[in-house]
Amino acid sequence: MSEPESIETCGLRCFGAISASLSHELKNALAIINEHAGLLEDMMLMAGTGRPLDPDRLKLLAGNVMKQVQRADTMIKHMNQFAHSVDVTIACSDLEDALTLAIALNSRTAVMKGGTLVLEPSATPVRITTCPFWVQTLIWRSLNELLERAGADRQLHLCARKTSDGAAIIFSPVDHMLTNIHIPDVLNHLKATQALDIQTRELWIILPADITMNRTD
Amino acid sequence: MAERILLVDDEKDFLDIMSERLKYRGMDVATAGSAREAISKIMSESYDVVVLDLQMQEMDGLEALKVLRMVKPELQVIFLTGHVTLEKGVEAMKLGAMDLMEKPADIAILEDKIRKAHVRKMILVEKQAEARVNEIMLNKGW
Repeated sequence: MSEPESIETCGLRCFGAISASLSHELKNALAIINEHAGLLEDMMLMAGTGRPLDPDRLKLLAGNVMKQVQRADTMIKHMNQFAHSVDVTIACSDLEDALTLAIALNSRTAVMKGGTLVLEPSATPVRITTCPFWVQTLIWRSLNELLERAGADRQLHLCARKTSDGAAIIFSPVDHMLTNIHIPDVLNHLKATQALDIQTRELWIILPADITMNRTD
Repeated sequence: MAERILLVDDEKDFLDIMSERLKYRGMDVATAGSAREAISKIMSESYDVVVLDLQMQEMDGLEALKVLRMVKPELQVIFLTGHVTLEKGVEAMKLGAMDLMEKPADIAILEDKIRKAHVRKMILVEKQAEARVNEIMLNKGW
């Protein structure tokens, strides 16, 4: 049996996987921009031989380039937001914002696995004091496992919900054969627990309202 | 004779623009937005070269290459991908890819590789035809 993964290794793997996925997508956007520049060059060469330039076509090409720049800029913003999640060990933040970022960071991986991620808006703001980076690691790790087992239900819904003594991240629908997510170290670090509702096919990751309360480490 | 290319990528914008640029260079270009669509096109149409993305949803480029090598062993495959690890690159070459390029690519280099792949395919087809003729000659005893 293989050695259980340490929390440090899990965190590093999360950082590496997300960086690799986003940089790959950035290269795709750059490749499209590069080909547009190349096509403009081709058109200029043809214009030199007497073939007239079509202003509508040029307008369309400029619009395509702008679309890809916007796409790349959004990706970089998400990458930057994720990179800054390690700036502070503990912070008070909205859990739904964390889910929104997680969906942006993990969407490509989900698509590669044949799935899609959908955010279910929460009725009220869900603010908790926790470790932002480890929440992202927890979501990344959970998504990997859930998408692997998603079967025919390829659309995975994520929701943040207030509980009596904290908050929960709810994933649904999960595989009915699922018993738990194998991330004990990350859950312990976040003082979180997991619960499975077989009827509704929901996996709840329950987080405390304030991780610093009765913190032993 | 114009090279018959099948360009396979799950980025539609990339397919549109790259196919237009290759057409400007005198090539006959068809496109597929997924590996499955590419396999289906290859079964029904004849191509000289497949320019294939490595990372695609459902079926990735390496899996597609394995199928292509089985159904059309003479077909030349060039990988054109956003990023490739050394491990994946070696695997692609071992599986029979002719070449591998990273995006964004230099169109002149890609064009050169496609033309070389076309020549290579023609040689392979000629050799296959020669082998078939030799087999017939041997079996019929003429």
